[in-house]
Amino acid sequence: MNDNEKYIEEFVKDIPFDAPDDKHRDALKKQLLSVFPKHRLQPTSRTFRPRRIIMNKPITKLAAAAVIIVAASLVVYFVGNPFGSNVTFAQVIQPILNARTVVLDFIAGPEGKGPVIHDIIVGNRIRRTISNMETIMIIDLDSARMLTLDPPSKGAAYIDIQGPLQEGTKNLLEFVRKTITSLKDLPVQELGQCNIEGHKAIGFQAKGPNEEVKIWADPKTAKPIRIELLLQQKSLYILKNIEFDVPVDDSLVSMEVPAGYTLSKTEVNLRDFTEKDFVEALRIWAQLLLDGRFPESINVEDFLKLTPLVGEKIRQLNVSDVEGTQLGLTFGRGFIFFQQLDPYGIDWHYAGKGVKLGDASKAIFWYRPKDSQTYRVIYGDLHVEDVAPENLPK
Amino acid sequence: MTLSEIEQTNLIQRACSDPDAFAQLYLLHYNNVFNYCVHRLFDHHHAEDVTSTVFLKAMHSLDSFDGRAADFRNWLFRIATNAVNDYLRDAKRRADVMQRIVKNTRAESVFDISSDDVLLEKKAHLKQALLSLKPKYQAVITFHFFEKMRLTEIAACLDKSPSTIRTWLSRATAKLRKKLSAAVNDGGSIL
Repeated sequence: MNDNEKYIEEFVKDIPFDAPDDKHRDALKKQLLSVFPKHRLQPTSRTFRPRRIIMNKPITKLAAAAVIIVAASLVVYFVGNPFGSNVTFAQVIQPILNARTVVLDFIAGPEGKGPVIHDIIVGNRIRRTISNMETIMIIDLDSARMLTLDPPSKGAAYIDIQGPLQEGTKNLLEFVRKTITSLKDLPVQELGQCNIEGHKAIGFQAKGPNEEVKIWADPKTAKPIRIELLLQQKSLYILKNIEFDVPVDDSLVSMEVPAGYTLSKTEVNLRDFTEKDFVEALRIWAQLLLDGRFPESINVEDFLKLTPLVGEKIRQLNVSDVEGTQLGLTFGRGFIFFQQLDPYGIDWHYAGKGVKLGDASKAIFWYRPKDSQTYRVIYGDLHVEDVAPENLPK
Repeated sequence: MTLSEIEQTNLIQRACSDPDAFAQLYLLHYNNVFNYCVHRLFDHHHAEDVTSTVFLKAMHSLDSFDGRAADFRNWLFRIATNAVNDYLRDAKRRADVMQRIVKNTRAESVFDISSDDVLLEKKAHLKQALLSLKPKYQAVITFHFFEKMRLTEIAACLDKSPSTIRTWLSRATAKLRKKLSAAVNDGGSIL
């Protein structure tokens, strides 16, 4: 700061100015809303024309379909063991492998930015709740079925998760165990002591070719209390507040519909996910949430955060229950399709920031399917082309 | 109320077609815009008039805003700067503003009535000195000393490079100091 600036700084110090007046603020707000451009008002079902999605079965009323389905697709696709299978980590492995119950919080992305998923795992059953949704999911991995409960509407539904979803969900359980057991024979760096959520913890870090894992464990019991996993150097997942063998009431993971809930008669199938689902999810995202623009970025935490909004927007569309459910299913399936890409090492890139829905000249997303020589490129009008790597957008 | 970047971006996008979202966005930014206007115009009523203009313009051109949530405040300040400059450009209105400065300093604000006489006199000098500068200098002075903004932020608001703003600020502070010193020492007009 030079002399002139210092002089002025000193001069203006303490000079009083009037504060904003709440009355004017409120009056102006009313005035502005009275002249809000009517042609820009929220599109209704008359202007929103969702593409008809082909369903294997007709679906009757299913509350908060988008929420339920995206939630159901969470924490899947920790495919394989990031560190190989020929290792053990004796001190830490025993409580994990032998535990009958595991309770943990799961976060996709940096902590504090996205919702927290809370899992209670009892044998092959999981009770899952998510901090920004009211839906409760109870997953039975043996039968590959999920019971979803929507407390506000007292609605319940069974969802078939055979196939990739079941596989992925199983892999979450395996992930907790294998990650820990894998550390022993890899170069493990000790991170020293740290305070984690009020508990003293010792840390270990191990790096695989595409993964990086940090584990914080209780120094007295050697039980892990927090695990941070970085996949493909860009997708961060955090497991925290991990507890083993805590007493859990079996009713919490019962697959029976609780008293007072009404069961939907038709079951939902979440077996197949295609590129088409993903394309439609992008359309729904842009059209329902962003006024016809594609999002700035695409990642798991954004999907998680926006899912309740999608459910709410679908409800506001005034479409039939069947159409609303189809939209929710499509959004969820599109998310699952996207979520498969990283774990399977599929190269993808998003470039939709600032692009308007309908702009056929701009590529918004491209990925190379497994074993393919060309990329699938999705454009702003959502048509898809096969493009050689050398012809990809710069 | 604090919103995350993504929530703000989402709010801005919804505000284009959703009056409730626009109202929420308006409430988030009303104080910032009013404060800037009152620091530029030194008059509560003029500031409210211009604040109204700013939000009306923002509402009608919101769908042309194509930036991040972090850019939105700068975008509003740019509208506000243009609106204040337009307001002051009207010679008749400007004369009216200046007349108020001379005749009505004490009466224009409840806050002022109970303020120290020295501060009121300093405020009167500041008004006269600042309003006699070019509008672009008034803007950088206000952004820097009242809104406490960094050069890069001021540059974003005025759509100029930080080095240009640095130059403007240097010239503006030199001129303003000269005028203020003259007013304080001579007690005379600085127009």
